[in-house]
Amino acid sequence: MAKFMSTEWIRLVGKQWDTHPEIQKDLKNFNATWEYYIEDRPDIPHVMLFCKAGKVIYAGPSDGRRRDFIMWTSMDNWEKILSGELSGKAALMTRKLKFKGSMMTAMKYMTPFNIHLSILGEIPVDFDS
Amino acid sequence: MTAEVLPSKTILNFTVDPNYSGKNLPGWFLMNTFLQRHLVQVMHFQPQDDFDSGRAAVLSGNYDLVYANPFDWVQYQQKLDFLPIVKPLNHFDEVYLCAPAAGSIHHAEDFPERIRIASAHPSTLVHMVGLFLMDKADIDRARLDFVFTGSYQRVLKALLQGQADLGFLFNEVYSSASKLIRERLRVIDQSDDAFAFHAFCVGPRLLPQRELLTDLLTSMDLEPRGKNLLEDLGFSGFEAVTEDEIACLATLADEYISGHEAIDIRATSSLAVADSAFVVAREDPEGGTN
Repeated sequence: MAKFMSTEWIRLVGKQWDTHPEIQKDLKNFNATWEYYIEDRPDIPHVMLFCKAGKVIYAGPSDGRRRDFIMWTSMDNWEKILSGELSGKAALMTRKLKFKGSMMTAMKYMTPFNIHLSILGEIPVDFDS
Repeated sequence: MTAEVLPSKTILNFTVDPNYSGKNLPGWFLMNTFLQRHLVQVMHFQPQDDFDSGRAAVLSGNYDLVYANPFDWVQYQQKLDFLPIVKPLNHFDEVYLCAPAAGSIHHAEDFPERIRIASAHPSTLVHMVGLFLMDKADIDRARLDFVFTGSYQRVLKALLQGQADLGFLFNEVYSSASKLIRERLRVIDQSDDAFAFHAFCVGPRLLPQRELLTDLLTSMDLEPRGKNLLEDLGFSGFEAVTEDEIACLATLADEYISGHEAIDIRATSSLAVADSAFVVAREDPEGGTN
């Protein structure tokens, strides 16, 4: 089982993305990079995805390229978000999921944003890293 | 609970979003009476004709209580230190993209080359979300010609009189329109974001009584008179607004009002957009994202 927020995990997320045609359709005009990290685990490197025309073309360690969005929270909150206990909208509105980037874009793409969080949650993961 | 009470001769002023100027006014006058009685305070209710005059009236500093749309309450909070205290329970601002039912538009594929859109005002969340719906349909924003009507009632009128091909309608206005009017409209698309909301906001003179007012509004559904009034106004109740919700919507409004754009607008629009219009999470020069 992949460790949460590891390179292995984010690559599995990228592969899982390919099995969701609905998010690829919703994001067909969307080109952006975004990074994730765990607020209370500074020892774990940040990872990122690069989506171009709805498809993930990079999934791996954050490599220094410009990030359009950055999302971070505590390990506890990540677990709640990935389990679906906390919806994407609720996580954003309550700032349990911290977010840097265009809020307008987040709102415009709220449906695919929620699908994206459910994709993260579809990967069996070990949170005790 | 104890609350600081204003001098009894102080007359407070209350207004609501101009959206409500053309409908349901008796309900809002009754709300004013309800609030006066419970606050033991004389309060004058003044409806507004359109968005510009409504904003100008509140920004002139003459109002103490406003039931405002999201982008307006953000302005009142930032410019006048108003505080959003309660929002409708399970009730969000959504947008209906409507066309005249008698016309030939059923889907986005039917839109004419130049699209005339009736919208109440460009500085509203409804307008922003309406644009998102057009983006979602892959419509180049360069094809859009806007008729800004000042109110949603006039958006309805523009649609029914054939002055527009499409209209951006606030969900409450569509839902509360008569069956006869709704039958003359066709919903082409609608948002389902459950993100933004109207809110009751208190101005500086009423701030000392914000807790009393919050308790009063959030418990209206518990007493028969309050419950009837809520039903008249089309609400099931009110709930408190959180600081995080305020911060979130303030960020959204700031980005929109300052002319920033969703990052990918250039993928669907031939309109010229400068790089400076884009918000990205570039490294913060003052120390990153933490």
